[in-house]
Amino acid sequence: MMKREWRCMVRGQWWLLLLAVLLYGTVVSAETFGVKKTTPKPDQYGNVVINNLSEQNHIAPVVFNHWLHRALYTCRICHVDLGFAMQAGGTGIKEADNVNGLYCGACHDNKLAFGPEKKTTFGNTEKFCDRCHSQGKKVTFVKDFYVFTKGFPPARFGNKVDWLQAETKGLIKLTDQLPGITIPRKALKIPLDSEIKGKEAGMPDIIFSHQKHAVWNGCELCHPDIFGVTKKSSVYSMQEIFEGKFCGACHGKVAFVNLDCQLCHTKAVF
Amino acid sequence: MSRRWKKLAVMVLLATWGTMTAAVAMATGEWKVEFERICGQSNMAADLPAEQLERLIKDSDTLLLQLEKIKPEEAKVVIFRLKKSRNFFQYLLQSRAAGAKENQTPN
Repeated sequence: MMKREWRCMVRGQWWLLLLAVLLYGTVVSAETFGVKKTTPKPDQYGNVVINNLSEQNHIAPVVFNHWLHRALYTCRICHVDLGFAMQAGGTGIKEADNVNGLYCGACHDNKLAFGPEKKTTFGNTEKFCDRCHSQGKKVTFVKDFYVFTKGFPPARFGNKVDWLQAETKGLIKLTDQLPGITIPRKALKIPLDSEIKGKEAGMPDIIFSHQKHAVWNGCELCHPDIFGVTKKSSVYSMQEIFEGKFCGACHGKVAFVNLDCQLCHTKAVF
Repeated sequence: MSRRWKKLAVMVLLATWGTMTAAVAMATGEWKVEFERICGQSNMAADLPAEQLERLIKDSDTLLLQLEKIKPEEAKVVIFRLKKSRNFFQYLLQSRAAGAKENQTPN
């Protein structure tokens, strides 16, 4: 009697067992292949939340938008000349640094870009804290992403803007030298493109363009911190790139998303 | 005063003057000239001969020691920037050596 009841119960609940197996399978595969992250909206792709001391000091964390800064300046102005680390929160910026003209304060000084506060014609002080310390706030920015990028060449992922094409077409003009901030430098001699062998069978090899990378980054942004000399620091997998190492230091965070395989794996396969 | 003592006194005076000049130069921001000279070479470093790269690394190390004496709030970005260039010079030397080693390896 008991056996029959048990069988009936199991037969009736077979779908529960299937669900448990499926759930287990999902968890195991997620462990192996990683979990799909939420895709940010085009205007949020590349945004970095800086919260070293903000919340501790009862102020909203900073939401730094890469899209506007990258549309105006080369990467190396900030990540080489101004000393910004490549990892979010890695720089350890303090308000005093900005006041002393370092980091954000190098440009946000009311001359080149808006500063933290400004004296009005009536002698009052207007504060602009919210323009940077904006997380969780409804702030209307002077430059709107969708207005700014209207008519820019489209891309499939990320900001959905082909920034490289935008520069080629003259829609954006990147500044690489700022008097008093950057070091006067001679014209960069671009190394030749290099070929990187893919590991997957049937996947085209990569033609790495120094031309495209060095103009925005210079040499010392990538070498040796991201790409070193030893085998360990020069041989890498797609998994490592997805984890934010090597090409993934920029691609997938700010530069085009690495789901667009054919943008890197460009060598003809015949 | 014997001749030897006179020579020694002149040497001590010269050394003191050198140290003081260097200290004054550091205090008045003359390190910037050397800093800009070194970092300004990054763009064409790939074409520089090994001896010149070695010299630049040495100069960077000397300057890094001196920079520790300037205001820490000013120094942190400068040190970050100088290390970027210094490490790139070293990277170039190492990659050249690795390339040469690879070419020597029999197939």
